[in-house]
Amino acid sequence: MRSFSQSHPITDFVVYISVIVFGMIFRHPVLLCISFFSAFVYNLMINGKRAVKLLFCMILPLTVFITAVNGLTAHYGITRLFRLANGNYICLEPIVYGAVTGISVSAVLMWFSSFNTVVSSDKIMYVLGRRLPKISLLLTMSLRFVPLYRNKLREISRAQTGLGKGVNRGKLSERLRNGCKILSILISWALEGAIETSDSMKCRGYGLKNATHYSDYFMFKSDITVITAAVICDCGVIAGAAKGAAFVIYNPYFFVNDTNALSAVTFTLYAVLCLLPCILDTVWHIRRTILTGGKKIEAD
Amino acid sequence: MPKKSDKISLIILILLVPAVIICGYFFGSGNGYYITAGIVAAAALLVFFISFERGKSKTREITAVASMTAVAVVSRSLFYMLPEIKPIGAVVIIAAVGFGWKSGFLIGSLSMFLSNILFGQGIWTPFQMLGLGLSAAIAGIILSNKKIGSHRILSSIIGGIVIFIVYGGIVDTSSVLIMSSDLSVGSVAAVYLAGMPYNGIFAVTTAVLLALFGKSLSEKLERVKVKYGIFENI
Repeated sequence: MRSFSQSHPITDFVVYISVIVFGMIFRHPVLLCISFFSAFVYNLMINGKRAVKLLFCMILPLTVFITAVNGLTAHYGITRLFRLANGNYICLEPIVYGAVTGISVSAVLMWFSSFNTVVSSDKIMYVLGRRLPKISLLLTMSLRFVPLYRNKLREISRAQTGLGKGVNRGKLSERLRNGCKILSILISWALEGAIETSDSMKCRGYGLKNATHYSDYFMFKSDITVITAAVICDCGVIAGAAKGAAFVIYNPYFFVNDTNALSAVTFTLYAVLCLLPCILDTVWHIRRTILTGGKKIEAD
Repeated sequence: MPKKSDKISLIILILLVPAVIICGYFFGSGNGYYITAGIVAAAALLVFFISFERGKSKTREITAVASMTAVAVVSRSLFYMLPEIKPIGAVVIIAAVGFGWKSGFLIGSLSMFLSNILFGQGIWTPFQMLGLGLSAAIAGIILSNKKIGSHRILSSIIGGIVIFIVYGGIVDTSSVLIMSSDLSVGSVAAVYLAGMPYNGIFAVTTAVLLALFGKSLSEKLERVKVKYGIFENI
């Protein structure tokens, strides 16, 4: 039993791909609310205060912007609110549809926000490594080079500033020229170093046949359970949507199918899918509390 | 001839994106366009990466590409006092001229992926990757022509234009597809106009930086190529 963020990368990817793709396709108000709510709750569990900050500083303004653009530029709809000077009507339906688009984009953004915390670069490398070994070697090396070069860049920058050729003072053109100089110094150093690294790699047997992959992720029973649950929910939601449970019209008037048994089942399955990460984390916390007798232990 | 087929595959890649956007217009509903376009962007990247996997490249070439990718990512923090100046475009284009357009595509797309790993992935990731990768590849092909490449001002202007049209175009199209689900002329124009200043600044700074240090940097790459015998058959 592990929490969602400790799960196998494939578990994370299956769940995230499902919720993000569905979150972008569905426009049904109930489904949207489920996606938005669970994306926010999980983001709150994972990122804490940052989730609230994201909601107020980015999500809400973006939703308002999309609503405004759609409301002002689209003029379909049967509920006319008022008339503009150029003779076009501002209607209710495009505004509602803009808000719906905004909420769906926001939900996806929040899913990505928790994705960035849960799926570490290790997990991305693990998934890519088997299938695209050269690309993931490129990425791994660059990932290591970035902090190395950043420190070197700082060193060079300091030395150049000491010579009076920093990027912080002087005219813009001068600063640009000095910046280019610094970058150029970095590149000479970096390329020579990289070639040396590659020679060293070759001496240690890079590129030989029968090399194995290092991986520190194992499929547990709980991973298989979660993947199975996610796939069942996916199939159920797709089948329900194909039968019309997610059917909705915004143009030129607002219309949804009546709620019946089919749509109730679809909504429930979608809710289970979206809440899977939350459920998994909550269960994990409860079990840990029981096992440790309520004592706090350092998370590994 | 491997070179000819390479160019054909690049042309197909360039034509693929608008083609699928048009297809999405007929088939898609809601964010159907966005998903179709996203899938195509991802597929185009994947096709390219797989051809890189299959191809024979020396260890030295791989590390050189990794090194330039990291330099492109790090270059963002160089002008931390002037955050509008992003040298990533210039670095990627110069690398594409020096190491060939295929490596340029790799460096462009992977540096975007990498900086998104560090600063946060989003739904726009495949489009940014494709945008910068394609800009680097296209600029690399144009500027590796000796006549154009040796002309400093002309080549830097071409670099800026390519960034503006290809990178700005692809990334803004992705915002159009995600934000305005009705694709009316007004809403599309609003999103493109909102993106215009950013693309303009990015293009102008790329051109200026190319003019300032394009030549000296190209010479450096050339020297490394000759010294270590890498990227000989591009």
